[in-house]
Amino acid sequence: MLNCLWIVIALPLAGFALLALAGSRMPGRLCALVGAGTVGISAALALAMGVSFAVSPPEGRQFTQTLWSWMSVPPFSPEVSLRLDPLSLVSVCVILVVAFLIMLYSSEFMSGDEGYSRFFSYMDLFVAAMLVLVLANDLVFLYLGWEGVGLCSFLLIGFWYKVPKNVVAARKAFLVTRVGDAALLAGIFLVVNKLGTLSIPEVLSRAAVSWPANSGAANAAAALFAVGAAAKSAQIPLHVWLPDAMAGPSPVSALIHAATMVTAGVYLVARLHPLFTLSPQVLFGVAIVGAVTLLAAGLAALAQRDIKRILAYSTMSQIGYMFLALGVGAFSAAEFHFVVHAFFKSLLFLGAGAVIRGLNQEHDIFKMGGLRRAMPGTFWTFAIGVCSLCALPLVTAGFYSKDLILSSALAAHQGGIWLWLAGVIGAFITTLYAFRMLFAVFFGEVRTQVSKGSGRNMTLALVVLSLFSVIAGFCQMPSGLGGVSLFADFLAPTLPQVREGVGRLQGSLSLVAAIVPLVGIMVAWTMYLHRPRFLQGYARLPALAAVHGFAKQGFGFDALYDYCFVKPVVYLSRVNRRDVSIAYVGAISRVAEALHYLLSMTQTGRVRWYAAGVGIGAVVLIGIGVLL
Amino acid sequence: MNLENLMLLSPFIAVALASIAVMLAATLWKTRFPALLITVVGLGAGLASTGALVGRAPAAVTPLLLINGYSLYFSGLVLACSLGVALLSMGYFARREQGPVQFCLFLLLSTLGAMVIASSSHFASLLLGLELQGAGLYPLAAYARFTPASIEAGIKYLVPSTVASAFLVFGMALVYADSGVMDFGSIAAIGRAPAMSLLMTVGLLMILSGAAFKLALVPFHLWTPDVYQGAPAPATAFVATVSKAAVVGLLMRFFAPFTDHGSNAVAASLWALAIASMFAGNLLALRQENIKRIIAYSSIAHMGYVLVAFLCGTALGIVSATYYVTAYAITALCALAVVSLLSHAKETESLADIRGLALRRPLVAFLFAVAMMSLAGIPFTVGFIGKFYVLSAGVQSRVWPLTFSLAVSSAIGLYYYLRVVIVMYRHPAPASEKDAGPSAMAGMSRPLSAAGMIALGTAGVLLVCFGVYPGPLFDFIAWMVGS
Amino acid sequence: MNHRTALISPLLPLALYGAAVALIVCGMVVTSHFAGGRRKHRPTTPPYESGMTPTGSTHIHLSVSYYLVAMFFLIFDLEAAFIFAWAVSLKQAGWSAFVEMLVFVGVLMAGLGYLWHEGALDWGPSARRSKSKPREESSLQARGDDVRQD
Repeated sequence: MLNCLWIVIALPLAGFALLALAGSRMPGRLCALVGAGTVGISAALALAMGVSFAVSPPEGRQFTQTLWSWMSVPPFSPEVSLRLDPLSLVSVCVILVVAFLIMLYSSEFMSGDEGYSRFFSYMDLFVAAMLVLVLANDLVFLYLGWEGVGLCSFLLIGFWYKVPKNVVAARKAFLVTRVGDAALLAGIFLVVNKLGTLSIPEVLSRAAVSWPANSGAANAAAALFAVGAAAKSAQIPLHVWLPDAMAGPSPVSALIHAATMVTAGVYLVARLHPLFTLSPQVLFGVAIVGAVTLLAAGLAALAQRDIKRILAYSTMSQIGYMFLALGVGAFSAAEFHFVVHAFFKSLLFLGAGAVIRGLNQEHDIFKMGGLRRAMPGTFWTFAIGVCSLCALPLVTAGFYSKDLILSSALAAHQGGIWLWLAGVIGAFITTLYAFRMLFAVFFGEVRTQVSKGSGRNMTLALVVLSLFSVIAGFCQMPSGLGGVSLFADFLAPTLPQVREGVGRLQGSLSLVAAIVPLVGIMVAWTMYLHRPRFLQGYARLPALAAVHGFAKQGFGFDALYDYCFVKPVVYLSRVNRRDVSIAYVGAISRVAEALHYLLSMTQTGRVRWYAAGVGIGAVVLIGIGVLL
Repeated sequence: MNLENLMLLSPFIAVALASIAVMLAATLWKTRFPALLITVVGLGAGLASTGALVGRAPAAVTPLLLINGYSLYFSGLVLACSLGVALLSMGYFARREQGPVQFCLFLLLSTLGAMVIASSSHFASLLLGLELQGAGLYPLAAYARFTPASIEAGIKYLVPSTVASAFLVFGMALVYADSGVMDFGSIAAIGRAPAMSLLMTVGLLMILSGAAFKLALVPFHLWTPDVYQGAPAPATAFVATVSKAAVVGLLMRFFAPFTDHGSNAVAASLWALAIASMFAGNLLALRQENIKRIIAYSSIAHMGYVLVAFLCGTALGIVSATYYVTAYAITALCALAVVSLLSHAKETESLADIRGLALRRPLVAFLFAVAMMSLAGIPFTVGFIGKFYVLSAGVQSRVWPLTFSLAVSSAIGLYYYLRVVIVMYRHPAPASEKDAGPSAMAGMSRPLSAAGMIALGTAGVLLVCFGVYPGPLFDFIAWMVGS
Repeated sequence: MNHRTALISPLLPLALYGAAVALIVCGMVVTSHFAGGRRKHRPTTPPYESGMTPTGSTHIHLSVSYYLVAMFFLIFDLEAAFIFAWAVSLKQAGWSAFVEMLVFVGVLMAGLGYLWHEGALDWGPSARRSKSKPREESSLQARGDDVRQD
């Protein structure tokens, strides 16, 4: 069964090849069938493998399938090798199930678009690349997946490439993540150079042996990988691309910019966690970045009006939680939150997509309203997603994953009360912006009429995802509530167990964390639905208005980068209009071109000159021979 | 001449019989199909019998030919490329006045010559092979005799080639005058000796000049672009693959003893040829607008890369060079197959002709793009793997000047390869449509020949397969060339 | 170094001889250039044809068939030389050489048949060419005619 692992990747890849080469001549239904079908079969296969893995685990609870060695010049021999262990298995299943549901949804959502087959071919390629990234057992192969998802992200953000704004957004995403990619590549080079291997398990075991904790090499490697992870996962300060990336179609945002690709950074850190534990400083830095991001992004979300931008900031904030968990060493908590987040966030994006499509591309939540009656299916599923996002106690999956993160932030020895506090405040903000969005969109008076309802496929995807958003949490419950730890146990051979606090203080603090969302809902209800006047009064105060505007701009990071990087470059290039750098950069091309024309002169087209050329050449060679 | 020897010669016999059969078929039947069928079957039989000989102990068949893993590999490569060219010619000549019958005849004869070159172990057989190959190549280049460019290509290949052959033969005479031997084994023994007489050196360098002409190494390269451009596309493919592969095989076998140790005149000359070829080839292609000329110039550079691996003088170097030649043959066949398939009344050869190709023929454009990327050495193509092995051989042997030149010149090369790709994926210029008139557009929508598509598809699949999964081919080459 | 001097010393007289030849030839040309009389009249430029005024163009087209037949003669004549060599040692060479010669002659015959069929042996416009259809196979005869028309 497990030997079929490669098929899981090969199927979407084959789907991509078919759609890319013949898609334009295939009818739309067939495109959707190929696109969603390949992913669906892969998903079924992955689930079957998951069952077989759980029932009869392979030796050492991991399975490596080395397909072939790409090329081999020892010690550099990158291998096409797949590794299935609990961590990658969980990720693969989640990715494929979510991707399948999203493609099912897209088959209806995208219908009528002129790039229908192109959309599915990109999506298939993305799924294949994401699976490569997750299953890779070799750093080069992992990097291939990493770049592959980046490429697909670029292609899909700019999917509607006829609007210049979308292309700019795609380029921005590509360039910013490139910073991280460069860091990741540098990290890989460092590892190859120092440890002499590319195989991930080998790297980890050799690092543990030859690098002492806190050594320079370990710190450098961990820091480089962390920068790569932060850029991919849109963490401060490399987060600026994500809000703009919402220019892509909603299913793309759901799949790539919520459920899977942006969490690749989390996966990378979890996959390489032994390396990171060698460097507590970097790990602590990761926690700080996570805490800052979750607070800042939450505040920014509170100020947005565009429904997709709210969700984008929310995604950053939730990934901030995952980074926080990673930073305090609770790797399986991060992975658990990744799973739950994949479900509820893709649900929210798909719901938002349904709303936007229903209201004729309206993105502003304050121009929506009262959709509760017009789109009941979307409303209920969206509401479930919001509840899960806010970690409504006991009934939602989000509660269990967030609780695990918060309690481990408190208990872990790298953690502490401050990180916990950041998480709790973040949870409060989350509730505020989530319910603000829910109330604005689905409650209140009707502002725009619904022009297009959702069909069977879209509703089905929403319902299944909302189901997962509720039940996915029950496989991991805190000790106070039954103490189920199926998830952490399953991951235990790969990721260390989470240390959970058990003291009385911890117990009461958990209770506080559980109550916070409820309080948040009350506040949100009061502020946004019950007595909106109350808020409007404060909004007129200039100081608050300024803060609001600042948050709306995402705390001015764009302006800052514009000021720090873009402006100086533009300024320098203006000062340096005729140009010192061109003198040598351009010289290369100019010399090449000059040489080209010089050499072209020898191509006279005359036979006698060609024959003479042979003679001259021979004389030159003989000259060399005689002189030496 | 016993049965064992006949068995060893079976690839040669198959091709020779096929060429006679083509002549007879031309007299017996009026249609072109039997000749094509015989050609394909003959080349296929040659390939099959070459395959059947793999794994046998090396054996000398008369003092003239040596059949070992090395010669078998290159014979097989030559035959496979020739088969591809034969398939291409089917489609290419289907719509032309001229029939492909004589084309097949020359193709078979030239292939036979190339196989003799690859297996020769004596000056006599080498010269025989070279001349047989040449005698086939000149008419192949001039085959489209109703177009002046093709006649011109034939002449431009014939005349310099004669000059080069003269040097070659004179070199052989000098070597014989100095040493009194003509078989490669004895000459290799001289090469391994610490010192060499001046006469011997001059003779070897003259032989090198002749070989360098066939490989179009700078400064023996002047004929290349004109011949590539003027010859009909399948003939260009033949010149680019078959004749190159055979001569590289010879070069590596004949000159390997002279590059083993340090700095003698032959090694120094080869270094100079390699560096000059890499730079000049890539520079000449830079602003070129004609696809066939681009491929011609790039072939100059690629033969330079092959020399880099060869000059490492290590086992890895030889294997890498062989891998690179194979990679280049596959890629060049793929690229020229596209040119051949797209050519109708007029050859499709300028960049303007293929502008917007991706919209009209996505598959063909994709394969052409992949071929260009393979030439440029972009990952997941066979060209990347080839270049990787060449570079690692260079780094391993610490031949820094060569390695550095390779890196710099292939960076220059990226420019023109990617330019071709970009042109294909741009929207067709509205003005050019008007200029090209209805005939060009009609040509763009006609169905492509099935045989040609088979050749193109096979080359394309191999190109990607060996780029993603190169291990078996590399091991096979190491086993064949090493044994 | 040793063998180089050994090589150069016998070459030295040769080089001297070559230089002397070049010098004398140049001297003759230069001397005649200066010493010789030169007149430029109309009859000095045309080629000398036994005192007759030349008629027609100097560029005469010979039929390509002429060269072809000459070439075929040469080729088959040369092949005959091999057969002579075999014939004088017929007894010693034995049966295997007999078989080999059969193959050799067979190949020659196939070639001859091909040429015959292509019309390469016909002198003048071939029967085949006169009834040729537009999409017919090319023939060597046709090739010859085309070149001549150029």
